[in-house]
Amino acid sequence: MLGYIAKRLLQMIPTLIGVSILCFIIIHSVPGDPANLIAGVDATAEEIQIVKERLGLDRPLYEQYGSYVMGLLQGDMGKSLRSDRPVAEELLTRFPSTIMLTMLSVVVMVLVGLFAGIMSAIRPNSMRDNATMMVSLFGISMPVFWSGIMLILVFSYYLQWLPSGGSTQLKHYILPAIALGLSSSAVLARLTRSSILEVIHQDFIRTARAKGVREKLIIYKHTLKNALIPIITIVGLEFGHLLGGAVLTETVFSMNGIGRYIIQSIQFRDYPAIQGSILFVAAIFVIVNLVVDLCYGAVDPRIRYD
Amino acid sequence: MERKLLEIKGLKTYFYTDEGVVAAVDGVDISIRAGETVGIVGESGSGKSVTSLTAMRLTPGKVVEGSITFDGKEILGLSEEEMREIRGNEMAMIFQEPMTSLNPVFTIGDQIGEAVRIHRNYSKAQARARAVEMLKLVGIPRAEQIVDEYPHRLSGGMRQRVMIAMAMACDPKLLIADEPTTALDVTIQAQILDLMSELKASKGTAILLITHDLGVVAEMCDRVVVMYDGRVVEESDVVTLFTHPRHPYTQGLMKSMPTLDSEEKRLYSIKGSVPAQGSLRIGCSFAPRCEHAMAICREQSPPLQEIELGHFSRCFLHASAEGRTGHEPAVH
Repeated sequence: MLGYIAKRLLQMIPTLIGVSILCFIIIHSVPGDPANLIAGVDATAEEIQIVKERLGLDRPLYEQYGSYVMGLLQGDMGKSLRSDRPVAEELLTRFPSTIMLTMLSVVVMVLVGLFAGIMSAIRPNSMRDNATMMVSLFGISMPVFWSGIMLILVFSYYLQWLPSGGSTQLKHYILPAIALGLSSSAVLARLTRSSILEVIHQDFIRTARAKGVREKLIIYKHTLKNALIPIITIVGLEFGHLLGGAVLTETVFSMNGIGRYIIQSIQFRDYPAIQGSILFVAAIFVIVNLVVDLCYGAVDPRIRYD
Repeated sequence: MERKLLEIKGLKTYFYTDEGVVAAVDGVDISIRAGETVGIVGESGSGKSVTSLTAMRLTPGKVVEGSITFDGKEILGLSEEEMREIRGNEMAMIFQEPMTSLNPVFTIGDQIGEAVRIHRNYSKAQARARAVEMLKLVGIPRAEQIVDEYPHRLSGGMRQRVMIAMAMACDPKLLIADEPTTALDVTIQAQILDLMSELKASKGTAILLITHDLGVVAEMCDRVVVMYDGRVVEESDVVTLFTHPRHPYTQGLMKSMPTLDSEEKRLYSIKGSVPAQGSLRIGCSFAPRCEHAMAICREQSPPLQEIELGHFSRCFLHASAEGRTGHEPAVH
């Protein structure tokens, strides 16, 4: 088990190297130059050239990448071109807000998605089932930024129950977490439904009924634990999706998290900041995947790690 | 006469499918006395499994007619809650597929102990102790360790023993065994049958054994019910059935059993196949395959008659034979 975890953590290294190279190539092929933005609109070609030399942007790409990786290996993610502060510091101040938002969204997703899926599966093809699945189709089709704006409109503008933006208090997180979590809960509801329906026709469910187990326990104990594997997979994948979704959500709700930081960095062509944020998010995603794989073993005794 | 433990009377279980109504069980009478072993024999699709599932009220089909009394209670009229108290407690069931009939994500002990936790309010520790006791009873070695194992660590034969342990955990009065040995190797089959016989002898449990294997019937049963196309075609004690089968279908079944002293090169088989379920029954449903079929067989459905004491058969041949000798058919 520990060996497996160590192996998986080591496998993170090539993954992250791949991510950093891809990211490096993509951001440098995007038109626009941070030197222009730093030097200002009226700057002459010489002034821009001076800024480029100072930032090392005049060197060939492989040299720039090489020095970036050297820095990373020493724990240095570089300095933001925009604020001149270390990227690592910038990320760490914004990380708690983003992870809080993501976690709350996961909670919303699991609570709503699991419950809706179970309710649907208990009476397949009933009115309740069809209604739930219709709503979830609506939820899947709805873009997060749109549902976010609708939530702001209803709960902040008309009802004035909750703030429309900010990230300092818990109440700031409620609307964004709902906006983000609901869209994913629709996917989860559909998956939970089909997964439960698949298990409930298995022989061992008939065995449990023949034992006199009550229907509630049939669903929540005998069926659900068997249906959990695909559910956990989707929760893990959606976690990554939610991290990505945080980019839009944080912008809509003006929250000071990594998502909005990435958007601002891209607008400014702040290369070290973009690199650092993407790597950071990628690392979290890889770790979440490892946790998901470990959860499989906890749920299904047939899965072993060696 | 001993009191009847389970009495199924005129049972009709229908399935309402998109293609129409399927009369899987179409007027079946079966009764079992306490401590007795009754076999239900028939091909796939004869309605034997549906009959047994209906007795547990676990069939997906709908009971349209008939009554099932268990231990003096009419169970078709019980609420779901009352029925749950019987299931796994007084009436238990084991199934054909031991590989898929155990829940893969719970331990053996958890699954065996569940019945006593539900029906006898045992604590976790008591239930575990009961599970170990049951595992020992069904002859599983290292019961103390196996109790905490998951089903995938056990072989098919071991899993069927676990299923039996689970079914017997509350000392049921009736054990319904739906093809308990069909999925097992021949050597393991014998062991499982021996185990069931032992448990029956020591606990006095009545067994309703559903099988298509006449060898199993001969070894285990006191009485046999032969089913064909949703109906009982013959019923008698096991010796009579094997020595003097009366219904042409039963006779065909007996002839199609391989014997060591046979001179025949090819094994006998009944011509044709089981009629498609749901087809409208006019006349005797075995008539198209019957060597003795007469005109009347295609027009009317023969009644189940008691041709000798305790020996019932559903065939017009007996009526015509008795008509010639002048015997009145005994009243059922």
